[in-house]
Amino acid sequence: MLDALQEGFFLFANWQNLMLLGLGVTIGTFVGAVPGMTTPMAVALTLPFTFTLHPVSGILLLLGVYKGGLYGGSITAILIKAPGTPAASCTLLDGYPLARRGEARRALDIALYSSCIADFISNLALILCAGALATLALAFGSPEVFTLILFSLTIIASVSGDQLLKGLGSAAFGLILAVVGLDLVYGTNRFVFGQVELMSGLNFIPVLIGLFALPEIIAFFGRSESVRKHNPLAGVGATLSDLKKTLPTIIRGSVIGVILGAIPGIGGAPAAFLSYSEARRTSKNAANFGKGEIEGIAAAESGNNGTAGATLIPLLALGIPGDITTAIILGAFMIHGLRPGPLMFQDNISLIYALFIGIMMSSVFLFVVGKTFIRLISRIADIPHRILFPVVLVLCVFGAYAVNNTIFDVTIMFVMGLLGFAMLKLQIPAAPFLIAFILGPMLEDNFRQSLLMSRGSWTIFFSSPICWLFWSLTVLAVFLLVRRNVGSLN
Amino acid sequence: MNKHFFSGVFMLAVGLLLLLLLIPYGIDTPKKIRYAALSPTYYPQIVALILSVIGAAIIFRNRKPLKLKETDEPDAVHPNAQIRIGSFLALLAVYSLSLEFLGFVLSGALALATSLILSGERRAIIIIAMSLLLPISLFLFFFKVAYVPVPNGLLAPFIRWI
Repeated sequence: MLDALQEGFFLFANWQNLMLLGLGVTIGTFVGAVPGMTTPMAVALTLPFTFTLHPVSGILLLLGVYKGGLYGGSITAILIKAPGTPAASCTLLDGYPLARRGEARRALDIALYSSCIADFISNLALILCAGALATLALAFGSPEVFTLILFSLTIIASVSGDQLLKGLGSAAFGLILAVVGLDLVYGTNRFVFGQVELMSGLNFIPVLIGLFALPEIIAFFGRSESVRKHNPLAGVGATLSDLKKTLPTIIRGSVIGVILGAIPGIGGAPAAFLSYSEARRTSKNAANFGKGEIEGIAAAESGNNGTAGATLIPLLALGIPGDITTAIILGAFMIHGLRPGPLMFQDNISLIYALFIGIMMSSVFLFVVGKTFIRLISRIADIPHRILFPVVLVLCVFGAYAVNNTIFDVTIMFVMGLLGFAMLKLQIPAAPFLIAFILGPMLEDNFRQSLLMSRGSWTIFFSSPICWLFWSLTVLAVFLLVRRNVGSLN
Repeated sequence: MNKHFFSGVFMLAVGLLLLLLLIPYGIDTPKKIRYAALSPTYYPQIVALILSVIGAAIIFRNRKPLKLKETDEPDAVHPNAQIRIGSFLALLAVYSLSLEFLGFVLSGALALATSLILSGERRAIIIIAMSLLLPISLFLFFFKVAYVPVPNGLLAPFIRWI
């Protein structure tokens, strides 16, 4: 084993690998920060450049892009309320209010620290517990994922603030919009109304940008631009005490991210929301969540980035890609004549070790690149709104178009913007809509797949200990939330 | 009546619209379905029903007039708020419709200049520089770096050589 480890170290230890890893993280962070540019898009665009590289160099470049992209999505979510990725939409719940108070740098710092620590923990889990986590992941079938998503949806009650009924109604809007497109089982149209573009459903990014960034811009035109109140924390980064305060949240979020990341098909968004929900449930500052609480940012980012290394567990250990990005990375392995899975651990163990060393180094690169980025871009939040918001409008239009190269998505973004503005005026919270819209398809797909497997019998949802665990947690969460909110239903 | 009441009316209306019109006519259902729960309409019907019940519950709880809790502080509201919001929404509509015809660069430049003026920016140099530099930079990034085929509209003959 030591020989293989030594060989792996020599495979990794050259300037080209270090530079490519750093370049990958930089590209990923930049792309993740541009609304409309997704991480899978960036990894796919980088893939052709890896053809002529050594397999280790090429795969590390792609992994760098992947990890940078996961973090980069939080930057625009915090600064301009336009999340670069679905998972980053959880970060904006507390990140943007902090930025509006002039504490953008503090919010960005906490997001970075949480991302790096969670990424590091996730990488450790990949290296040390890949076998055990892969076995656990295989125990998750459709019924287990359904109950897990159902439990994740209890966060809706938490983010509804003092308006639980309106929050639930907002979530129902999100669930219904997530239904648009071709039916998974029968392939029939649902709310398509003859529009070919609607057959693949509504894309996340235009909906998210429309729902969060546009209403903010529209509302700005109804306000007088006021001089900001003096805030002693304006322009100041996160302190050691901030980090100490959020560390338990970061570790808990990382563990949630690792477990959910190891399950193929789950992704960062549910991990971020579940981590956020757990942080709010256990925090002393629960009332501040959604109003600019650094624990909220830490929970969302650690949940999201905790999936980074763990998503590679089913890829490397079983040869199963956990999401679109790892599917592209699987393609890169195959282009270089490698086939991830148990056999790769026998035949190419030194290459695996080289990748592990590179993956651990990527957390360091993420920190360095993130710190540099923050210094440059945290000033965006200081730009007067009369200039910033028109700029964000144009950026949103380009971003919404770039996802699928269709003007239809731009129209969807504008329509969602109007809906978001109406919700703002009627004081309907938008966060439950967003959570339901992201988790909705997973909920319905796994619900119907389970019923297909059981030939229509509902007992399948109670067929395993994992299902029972999540049912118990859901009932407990609902009980606690109803008890807390019973006086403030609206 | 207050915002909560109208929210309830809105949710109930959408829920009923879904149940009575949009789901029956907007979702194609196969003639033969083995299990009712697998029908393409099953899940949307449950959600629409929940939405209607929530809407009705909100209406019931807010049937008496309440004192409003405003989102914006009174001094933060712009004196011409309605005109400004109305103008901006009109701008969004024109921007959306002109994207294909004018192209992203030209429509972006015009929309940016108009919205900067509407938002209160009066420095000509800022308006001109921003309106030209931002759409061109974004176009170059998406077109040349990310290989996104951004529509060029009227500028297509001039941009072809890039």
